[in-house]
Amino acid sequence: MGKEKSITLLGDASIYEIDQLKEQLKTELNAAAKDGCDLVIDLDQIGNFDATFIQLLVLAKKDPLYEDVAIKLQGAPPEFSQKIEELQLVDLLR
Amino acid sequence: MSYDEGVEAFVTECSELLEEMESALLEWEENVGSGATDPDIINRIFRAMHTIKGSAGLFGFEEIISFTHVAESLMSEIRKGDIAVTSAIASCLIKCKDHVEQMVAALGGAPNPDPKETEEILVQLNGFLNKGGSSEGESQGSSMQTDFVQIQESTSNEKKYFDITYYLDENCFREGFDPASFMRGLKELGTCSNWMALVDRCPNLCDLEPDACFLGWSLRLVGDTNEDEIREVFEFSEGTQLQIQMSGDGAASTEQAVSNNSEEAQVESAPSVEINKPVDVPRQTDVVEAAEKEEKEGAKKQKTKTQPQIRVDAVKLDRLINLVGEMVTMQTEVARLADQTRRDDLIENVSGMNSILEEVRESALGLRMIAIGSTLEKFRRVVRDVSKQLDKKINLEIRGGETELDKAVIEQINDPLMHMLRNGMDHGIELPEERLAAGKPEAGTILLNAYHEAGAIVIEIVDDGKGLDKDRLMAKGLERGIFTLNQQLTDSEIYGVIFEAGFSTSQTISNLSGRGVGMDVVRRNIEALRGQIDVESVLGKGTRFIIRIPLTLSIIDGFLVRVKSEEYVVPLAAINECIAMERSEIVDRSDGHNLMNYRDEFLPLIYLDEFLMLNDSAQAMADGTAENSEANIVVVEFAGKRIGFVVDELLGEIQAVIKPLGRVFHGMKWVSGFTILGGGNVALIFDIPGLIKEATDQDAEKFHQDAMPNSLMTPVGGDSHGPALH
Repeated sequence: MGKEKSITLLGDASIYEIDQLKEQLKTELNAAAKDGCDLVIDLDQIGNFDATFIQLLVLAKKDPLYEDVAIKLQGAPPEFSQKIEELQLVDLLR
Repeated sequence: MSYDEGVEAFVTECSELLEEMESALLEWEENVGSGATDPDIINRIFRAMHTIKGSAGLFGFEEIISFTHVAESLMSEIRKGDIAVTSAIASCLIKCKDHVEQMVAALGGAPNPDPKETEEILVQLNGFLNKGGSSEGESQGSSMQTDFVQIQESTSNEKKYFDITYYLDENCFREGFDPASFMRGLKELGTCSNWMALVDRCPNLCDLEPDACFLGWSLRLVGDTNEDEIREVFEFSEGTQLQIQMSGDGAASTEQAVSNNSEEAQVESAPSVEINKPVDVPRQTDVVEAAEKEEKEGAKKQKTKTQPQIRVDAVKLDRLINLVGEMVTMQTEVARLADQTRRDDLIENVSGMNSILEEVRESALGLRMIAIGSTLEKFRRVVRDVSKQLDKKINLEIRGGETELDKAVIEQINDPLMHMLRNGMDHGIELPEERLAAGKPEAGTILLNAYHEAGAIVIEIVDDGKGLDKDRLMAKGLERGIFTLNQQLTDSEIYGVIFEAGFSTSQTISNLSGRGVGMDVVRRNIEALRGQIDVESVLGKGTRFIIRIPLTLSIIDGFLVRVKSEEYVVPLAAINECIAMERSEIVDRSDGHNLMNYRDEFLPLIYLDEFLMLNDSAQAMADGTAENSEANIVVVEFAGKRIGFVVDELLGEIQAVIKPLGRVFHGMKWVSGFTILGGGNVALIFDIPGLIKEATDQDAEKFHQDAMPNSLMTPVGGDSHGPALH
């Protein structure tokens, strides 16, 4: 298992915060890519979320710039799991 | 826009749409008997339900969506001519409108509507739908969900396969759509399988606009449905690119962007084949599209005629008005300082700035002015419901709906108007048989008439009912000690007792009115707006209530006067003219009251310094100790009453920002507020109706105290009923 860098998302992850989240995620991914480590995103503390956040995660996962960084989601609340299932995105976020 | 702001905008939008719907429904209901139905009215009702449903979809308000869908479907059938219009349908749709109103209000914390009522209305609506409108709504109910499914159009019982590919509109997230809602919509049409998310259009993270949608899906749908119903799932997301390939009987494929901009939106790679559709039966989507097309065309036409409009938060407007008010105050001080410098160029520039500021002030105030029409139109519903309840026939006539009034005033005038209207219907208008016996038309009429008069808005509520019984009012007034025996009273004073707390001459108490609670509150509310209410009546013919309210509550054009060392503002709109005359020309009557000859009529005069207890200038004049031999008189007029106020100096016009007085001044009915003058001094602003009343009351009191037979208040024009100002 390679090195891992963990971040915990707090608060809202909806369209109202999505710009900031994108920038934060980019920063973390750049740092992880630089350090050669994987990025673990802990969703345990997440508040509201919507499809924009899920799309952001999908894009981050498939971005060739970060292909060396494995993004792992952990601690996702049941609603999050249900949502990605409903949107048929489980495979993409696995 | 945050979610909460979005919901707030939705509630506002719904309230406007429901208002429009109600007005169309009432028009419709009135014309139902004639058999002719104006398609525009049907379209207005349809559009309201359609738009509310669509907007509710943005927020996922499922109950509103399901409910309005059924009403929309009924309207759609009526538009197509498949269901004939009946008064029962109109009544049901009015109930439906009320119910949606409750559902929307529940979003703001109001109690949720009774689910039983929801069920009942849906049963009724579906009754009309299922029986082509012939039912009076007594169809025995199934559940809401079953009803919902029942109305779904189905062209064949045969199951078909549809291979569907769609990319959602880029603005889909910004417009509040959840991709899952489209998926749920598709699942309702049949069994979905082979779902696959399509991410081929997604940019790299760096280039991503995170609130734009780049996702798409492909799937297979098997079900007893058709292409139209599939397209309907996406009908509110314009710009979604949708490709449908049908397998099975008559298999064909089609692709279409839901967007009107179909060329840009089409899926490039897929072949395009037109499905043959029956032309004689309009589809639900056609109807919706036609309505939208009409709406857009209408809007386009409108745009060529009118300027675009934007919705602005009322709080922002208030802030703007306050800032303009501050600027007006500062400007007065700047003008004063410029005058002191005696520099012509500076004075000229300041004067130019003043003119511009005046325009800014007018424009800013104009932003808050709205036509009273929409408030008055709402009463049509009240009249409809109450007349049914009372078994009376009442027509409501509205005039002057375009008359503009400050938004804040309109909000506060609604309840008093409503109360007076109900009173008029309950106690004023007679039952049809009584009216016929009295030689009147069977249906009574209530007129709401609004117009501008001297810086005020006048709203009249006129009914052609039985009128007020003066003798009965007198008797009640005596009984309650409001009047004394042998007291000389004007008609206006006698009718005025209906505004006394707890006063009622009604022999029956209804749940509408008659308990004597309300008319005193009506008067209080109107007076709180610096307004005045008068009543005129002719027994057997009808009653007229006249409400006068200032147009705005924030900034006024005033005239500054000096009384002794104090400065006061007289609202310019109330001033007839200012006169300087020799004090010797004032007629000093033996009873101590003063009159002047004003255009060959006697004008009562009030010495403001005396009234304000600053000094007794009348005495000073008599003693020869008055400041100078010239008197400055401000002649004011309100509600047909004219009076002259004697002041020491006329200082000129100013724009006065009205500031509210503290509670301690509440007893001073003759002051409407205060303003800050250029030098930082404070000037009280006279409330002209209050001042006239107070001054004449004081005078009348003096009359009683002095027991003088010929009071100033003896009518100048001659009114046999007693005291009145000219």
